[in-house]
Amino acid sequence: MWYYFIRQKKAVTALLFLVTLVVLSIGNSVIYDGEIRRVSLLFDENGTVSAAPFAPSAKFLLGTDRKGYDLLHLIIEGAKWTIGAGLLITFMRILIGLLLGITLAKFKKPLFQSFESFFDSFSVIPMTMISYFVLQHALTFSNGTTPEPFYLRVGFQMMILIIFAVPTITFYLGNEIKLLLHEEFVRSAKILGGRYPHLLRKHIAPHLNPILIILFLQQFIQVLVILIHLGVLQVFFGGTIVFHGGDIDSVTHEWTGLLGMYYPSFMSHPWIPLVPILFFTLTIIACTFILSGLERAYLFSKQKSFRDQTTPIEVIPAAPSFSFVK
Amino acid sequence: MNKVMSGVKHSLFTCIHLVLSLVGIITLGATPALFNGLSLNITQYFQAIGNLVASLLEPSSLTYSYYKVVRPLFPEILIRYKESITIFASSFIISLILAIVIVYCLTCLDPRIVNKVKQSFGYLESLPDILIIMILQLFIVWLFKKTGILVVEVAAAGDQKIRALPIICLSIPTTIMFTKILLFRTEEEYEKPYVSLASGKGLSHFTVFFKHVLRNVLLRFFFFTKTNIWLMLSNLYIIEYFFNSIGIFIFVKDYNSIETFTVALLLIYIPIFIYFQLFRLFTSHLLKEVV
Repeated sequence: MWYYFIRQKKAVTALLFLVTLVVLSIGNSVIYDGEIRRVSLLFDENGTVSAAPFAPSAKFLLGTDRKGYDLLHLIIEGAKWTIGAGLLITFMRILIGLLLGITLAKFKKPLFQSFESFFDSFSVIPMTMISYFVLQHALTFSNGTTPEPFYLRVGFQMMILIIFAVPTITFYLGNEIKLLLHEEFVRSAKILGGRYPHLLRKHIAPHLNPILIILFLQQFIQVLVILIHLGVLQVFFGGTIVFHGGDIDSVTHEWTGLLGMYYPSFMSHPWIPLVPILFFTLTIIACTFILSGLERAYLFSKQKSFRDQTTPIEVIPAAPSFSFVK
Repeated sequence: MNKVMSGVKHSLFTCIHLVLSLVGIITLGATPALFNGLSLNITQYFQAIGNLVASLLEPSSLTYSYYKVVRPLFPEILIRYKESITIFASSFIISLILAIVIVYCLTCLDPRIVNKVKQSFGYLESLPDILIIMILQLFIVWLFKKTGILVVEVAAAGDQKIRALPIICLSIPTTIMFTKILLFRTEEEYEKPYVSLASGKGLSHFTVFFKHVLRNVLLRFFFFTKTNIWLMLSNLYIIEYFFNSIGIFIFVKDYNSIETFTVALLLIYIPIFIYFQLFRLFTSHLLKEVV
């Protein structure tokens, strides 16, 4: 499969982009201890002073924010938080959803349906609304007070973002597995004595894998969008510090914080919130590329193995079975 | 007799379904009471559920408070609700019409071009809604600076209502989503023999599309529209915040208490539930092959 994946140029470029971003980000905190280039005053040749924020230029590729921090540097520092959290949340969502879905698919129909209707509201009510409602008090704290430790806050936020999405995924996957279980090939495998784990591994997984790949992409986009929404609503990943005058700051330098802090001023300095949004978009598009590459590679490798297993029928040139009598 | 029995059974199931979902919403609405800071507090949670049920049974007792001024919840939340519904319904209709027109145009084109368009729709769909909102706002302000014409109001101040820009902003991602789904379903439909029969009989492309294909496509579209509604609602939430419009989501955000939140959830969920049940009731015989 990897052999086919490497041949997809778009997907590999996208993967390289994301990996570089995360590696640079981790490198920044390991080597520079998370320091970020900061220039608050600039003098031009005539000696006139200009103050931050600076618009994008050759000196600052993406401009600076109001405190003079270099935005490109900030983005790189924040990448590991945002992308890492997004991937982790998505992965956990799907893992838990899959496990529960596998269990639920074995339930009798009335029980399954009652579970489904109990959680039905989750499929209609916006995630942003629920998670904002729950997270808002837990994650904002004013400057000077001692909040809960950082890892607890991050864990709590991740848990909320995972738990509230699990029901929808569970029922989606549960229904898919149920449908597959009613297929003829699964039934015949059952008659031949296949148990549930065997059926899952051998007969259902091959049909479920492409669905999971697509689901992963959808969920990842969804997680990033929810993080963006929460950022705009000023609930940042890892916590929001509220200063005395109503100013806010993010604990980590993750992207949503940049977005939420500067979006009120985006009419005057449009580049500050646009930069994180741009990187969000790039990340999402990169993921689209990677997953479509994976999907294609998966398909190719299946075709290949199918071709390997079925030995081609050798066509023997038919000997003339009759000849003309003359 | 058999039919009546199955009808009774069906309505009984619907009732059970509704009750279970309402219980689900109430337990969901009370979740903030479950967390005391970051730790769990189960007794407080059950207490909150009890209080919530008690106050929901007596709607006139529901209140919301703002800086210690307590006001009754009920007429106010409905006014806000109407505002949200207006924006939601108008952009739903606008997007649907636009999507149908786009899909019709695409069916007239060369399949190779359609494939290109499909790909680009995939990328467009992955743009976050906030990017679209920001670009639109910037564009309108830029237009205003250049020409002096303010096409639509950019943001609301005070009690002023703005609708044009929220509707446009909500319609753009929705149109993209709808077009993608409708295009997929239309292509599926065009494979079917009745379409070839219709065009073989000499019906024009226009007639075949609007009289025969579209009906079937829309039927399925409305049947599977739950995810779309969900996506639209979550976009609406952020759009209301951005444009400072006075919809129900902002109401919940500003005056958040367990009661307001739960009432808002009920107001959003129940109409959608009724819509799906009615739709299922009236069209299930048409959709046998799907369900």
